[in-house]
Amino acid sequence: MLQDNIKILISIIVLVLIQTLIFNQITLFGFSYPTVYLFFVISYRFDKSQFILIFLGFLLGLTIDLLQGSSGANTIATLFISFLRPLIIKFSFGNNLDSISLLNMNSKTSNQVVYTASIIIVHQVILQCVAYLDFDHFMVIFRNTIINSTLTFIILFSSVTLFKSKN
Amino acid sequence: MQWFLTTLIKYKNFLFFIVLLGIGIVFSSTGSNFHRTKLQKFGHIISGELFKPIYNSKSYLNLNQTNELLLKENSHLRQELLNYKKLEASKNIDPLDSSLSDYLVHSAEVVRNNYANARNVLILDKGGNDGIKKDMSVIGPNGIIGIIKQTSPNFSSVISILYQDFKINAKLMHTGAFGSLYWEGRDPRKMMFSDVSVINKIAKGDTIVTGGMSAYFPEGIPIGKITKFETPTSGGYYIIEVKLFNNLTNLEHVYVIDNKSRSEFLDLQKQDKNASR
Repeated sequence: MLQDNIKILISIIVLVLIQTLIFNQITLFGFSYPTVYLFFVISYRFDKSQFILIFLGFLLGLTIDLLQGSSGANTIATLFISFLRPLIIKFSFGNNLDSISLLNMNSKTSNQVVYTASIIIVHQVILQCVAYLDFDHFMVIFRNTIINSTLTFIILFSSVTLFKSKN
Repeated sequence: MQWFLTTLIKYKNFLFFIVLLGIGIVFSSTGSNFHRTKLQKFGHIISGELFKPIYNSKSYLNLNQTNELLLKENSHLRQELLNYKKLEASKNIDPLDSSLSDYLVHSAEVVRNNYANARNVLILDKGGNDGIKKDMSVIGPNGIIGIIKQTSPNFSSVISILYQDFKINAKLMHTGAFGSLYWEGRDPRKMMFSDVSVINKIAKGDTIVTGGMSAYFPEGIPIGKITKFETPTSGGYYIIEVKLFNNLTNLEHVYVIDNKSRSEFLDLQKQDKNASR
């Protein structure tokens, strides 16, 4: 139990560092960067308490916001996605979960793709909407959402696959 | 009571979510709030320390380019200095005496640069210990960059001009027509210049400089060139697109300007406001 908690803490710190030190530095096409810290929300075990996930999601977003100097968009988006995750799990896997974590799951790949992609897209939509908070910027929000989601999906899904092959 | 507790436990996730969401919204609300400022200050100290090594390695890779830019700027300054000396020789005062000049210039280096967000904030490696104060203006080799937002002893954060809801007073260099400059959030090289009345003649390639009507930037610092403009069918103002001279995606050395007559300017403005009430 304690070991699990330490693992979770370390993974949050590592993800925050990777996000702020690497991915926020490489801005592809001059405006987009993938939100790789979502790996935490995606890989959080399904049998663990959602209450704690909501709190950790909030902390994760807040840390990213403070380090990035942005005004709360990451906090709100990550909080939302932590709260909505059970719905997304139900939507993508139905009631027959065959594992407690995405990292050692044998369900159909299509289900896992749906799960990962919906988390990323919902998160990006909220993130961009909160960041711009103005529908005059609809095209910018739309463009950022599409490109950031695609990039994030490629990175996260390949790292999930990588973790799986290691197990 | 029993019922209340059961409901509370049943919906604890939702309630907790709502509470945290409230905190998040308060955090992101724009009003300057004491805790928010404190938190952000803490964040910018940490990110300053964190990004310093990255900045160091990055700047090493760009040394050649930076040298070239500095040389160019140096030669420009030298030229100005020569002109100035010629002018001042007759008046017999020391041109570098800081008590006589209105503006003090501090050089600083950008530790963290942002341009992909809707509201971008930069971090500089100079802070309160180096005489940097809130609301000083920051310019680069080729034009304006932003305004100091907060300082800690060794770092300071800058609101970039690439910051939504931030408007800068600017004017056309040749006609002197005033307008305001803002960023639409799309391209870090382009900004919009609005509120210029159609009675002014403008053309592609016209230069935009800072207006000096706000106390932040000294007047006449170059900003960019007009690349596109539309004459509206209704309403009397042009829609102008400006390409910035400064490349805000690649910043290393900047100058922080301390406008010594700023407090005087603000006082006057306040008096004026009171008088017009």
